[in-house]
Amino acid sequence: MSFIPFLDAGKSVRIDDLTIESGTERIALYGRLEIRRDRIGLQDIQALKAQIDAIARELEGSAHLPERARSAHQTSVMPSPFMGRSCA
Amino acid sequence: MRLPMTGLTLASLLWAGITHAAAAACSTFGGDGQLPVLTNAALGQKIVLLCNDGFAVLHSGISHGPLWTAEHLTEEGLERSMQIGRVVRFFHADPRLSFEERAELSDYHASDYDRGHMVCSGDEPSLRAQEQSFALSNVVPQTPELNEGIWTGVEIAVRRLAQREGELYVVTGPAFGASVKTIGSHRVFVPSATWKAVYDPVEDEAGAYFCQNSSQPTCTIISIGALTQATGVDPFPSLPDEIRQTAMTLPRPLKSPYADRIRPASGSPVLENMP
Repeated sequence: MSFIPFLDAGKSVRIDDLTIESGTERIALYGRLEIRRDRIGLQDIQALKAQIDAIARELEGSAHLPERARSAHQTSVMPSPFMGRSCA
Repeated sequence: MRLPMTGLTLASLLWAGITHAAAAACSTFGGDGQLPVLTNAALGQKIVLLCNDGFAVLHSGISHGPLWTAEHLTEEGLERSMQIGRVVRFFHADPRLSFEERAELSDYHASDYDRGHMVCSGDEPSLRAQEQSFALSNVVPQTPELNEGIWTGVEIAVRRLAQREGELYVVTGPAFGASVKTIGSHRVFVPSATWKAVYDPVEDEAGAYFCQNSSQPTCTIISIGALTQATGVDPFPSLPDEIRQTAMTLPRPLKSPYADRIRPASGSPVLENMP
């Protein structure tokens, strides 16, 4: 069930209120997760552990990790077509 | 039930290019049975109304994303959504839209922006509805600081309010500035802010969170009147003036620990009440 880290197929894993999303450049974990002493708590923490182990294995297996990866931008700016009708 | 402003609403819908029949199909997601209307005519180009199991979306082929999403949160629906538990979902292009008008996953690659849900997937009452919330027609580019920080806090705060009140009508969408940044080859518009408007039918009051889509996001609480002015979207067209002009007291959104850590010490999130 765990994703392939850094492969962006749009995958999003949700455990309680915690979200894990994989992108080509970064993986984000955010939200909150409550673990109780019950079966659901155990299932949730095992699911989280599986995701984290997969990410760690991927990074550990990468030969040349930079200290800090730079991100590539692919953006442009244009005037909004939703504005300016009144000042034409 | 409120007296609907039928004439105005129908006219706005027609001019926005939506048939009344299509709007009727998912009008139960709107407050007083009325979906949001566009008050800025320029927004009404290449729009498509999409009816999902748990929410309605007005999609723009110009911005390649939603202009608004509307949903009716109930205690019962939220109870069902919590029972769904752990899920794995995939963001996907919405197949109901043409390739030219929709956003693709590739538009978000290498963009520095998160795929930010408008309707929150975790609030959807069924697996199918959750899956539908992962269509890119329900998504706009949000900074990670917003999406993973105070926006998550807004979603949690609204969900708790709905549980406490028993039901809420929620309309969510993007706001665009005078110039827009775009990402990807489809030029998906990056909003300057995203907002979440709430109508509480129990207390008969309404208000909205308005959150800057920046690397140091802040949210303010504003009235429905102020929101409509700022965005060109009227989320609850049936509301009378006295409710529109006064922002209800909305719960303070929780900041996520992650947001705190990445924010510089001086840039702590601001939440101002601006009724």
